[in-house]
Amino acid sequence: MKIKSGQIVIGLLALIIGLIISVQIHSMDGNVIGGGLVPVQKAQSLAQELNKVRDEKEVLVEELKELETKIKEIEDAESKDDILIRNLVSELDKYKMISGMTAVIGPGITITVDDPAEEEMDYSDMSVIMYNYDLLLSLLNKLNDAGAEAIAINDQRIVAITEISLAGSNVNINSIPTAPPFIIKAIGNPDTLESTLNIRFGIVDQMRNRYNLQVKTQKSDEISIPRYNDIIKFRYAVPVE
Amino acid sequence: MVKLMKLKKSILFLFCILIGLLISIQSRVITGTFHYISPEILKDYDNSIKTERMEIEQLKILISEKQEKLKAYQSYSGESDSILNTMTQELNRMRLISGFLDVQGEGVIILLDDGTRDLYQGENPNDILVHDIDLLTIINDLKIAGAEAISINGQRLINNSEINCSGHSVRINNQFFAQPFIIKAIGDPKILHSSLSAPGSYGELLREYGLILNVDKSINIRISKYSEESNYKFLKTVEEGEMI
Repeated sequence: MKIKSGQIVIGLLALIIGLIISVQIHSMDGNVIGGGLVPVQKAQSLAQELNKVRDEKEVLVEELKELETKIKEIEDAESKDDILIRNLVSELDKYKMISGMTAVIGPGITITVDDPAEEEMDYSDMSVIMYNYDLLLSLLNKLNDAGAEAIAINDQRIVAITEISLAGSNVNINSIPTAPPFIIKAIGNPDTLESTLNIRFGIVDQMRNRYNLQVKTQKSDEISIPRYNDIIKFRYAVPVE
Repeated sequence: MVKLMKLKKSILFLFCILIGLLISIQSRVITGTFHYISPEILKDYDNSIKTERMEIEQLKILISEKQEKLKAYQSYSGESDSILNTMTQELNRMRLISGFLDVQGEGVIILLDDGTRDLYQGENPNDILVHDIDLLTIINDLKIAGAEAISINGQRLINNSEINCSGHSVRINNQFFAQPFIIKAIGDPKILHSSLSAPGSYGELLREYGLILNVDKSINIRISKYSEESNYKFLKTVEEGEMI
């Protein structure tokens, strides 16, 4: 009789152990995929790393600016006594601005596009705006149609060869991976830009009602748009002599 | 018999220790150093770090280029001719990449036209017509495939070219065009060709709908420069000292 009660206890214990182990494994699992219960440390270290690379970038941007200032100084000094160089400098400035090689400011509009709110999401976990990135193409086209002079998406300046492509879990713009929310800045006549986008059955209307996206447009007197951060080298296209 | 009882007791003892241990580990998971963090947030962090790293790489290349230029300038000191040369070169490079120079090179010529097949019963005629989004997606696909210069019906596409589908015609760079659309793109002909012909590509989708899309490789394509006058009324270059 005594032996039997011992067996029951052991049986119960085994059950509890099994349960605890399974719970334990479950909570460990979260770590492996990268979500769920995660040590705070891991998130903190990621945040620190992000700060570190941001600082590094900041330093490099400063260095680049310094170099550009020095180059400009030399050009200005030369242009003082040479009218040819003076013309060249102003011409160069103009084309640098057009090709997206200088940061620019001006009045314009900021558009924020984000995925549908949590409760309106359907069961797939795919980001709606990333999957339908042609909406971004369309939006850019509408902005250009309304006379936008410079555009950037998530601080990526739109230049003549800018592409938007879906790459895995990112949307690549200028081959830099970005993710929602997409913040689109455009310089141009703020009123024209805004009403072009917000026309009934227009692009914003379509994004909101058909795709449930959260879209905000805001006019502003001063918008700054960064320069294109890469060197464009043509390997196939050569100037016609 | 006594031995067996002893063995059982020791097993029980071991289990108790194990349970104690597991419970303590478990309770640590629930309180204190562990928090719930959604996978999206971690992914966001990962993405941002990746993005910043790539931008840093690009900046380093830019900086080394500027350093070289500065060195060249400093070595010229006094000779305004050499500076003039360097600046003219740079000006030509800027005009080249922004679409203000005629260019030539190998690439593809694409013909895009409305479908000629009969409509199905009750089918929307829009299914076999060319729309602006078709053109935009094809242009974007070409850029992904590395196209360096693109024109539609002779209009060079620059950063603020618009493609506006307005009824029967399409407006590109403020000029009106109708079907068919002839798109020229300079780049690696093989890659450009496959970007519009690969299974699952947008080009194939258009063909399935019945639109006409022909892609021909060519060893020499000439694309003329952007022909409109570009007036920038709102843009201003950021002055020195102002932060982006």
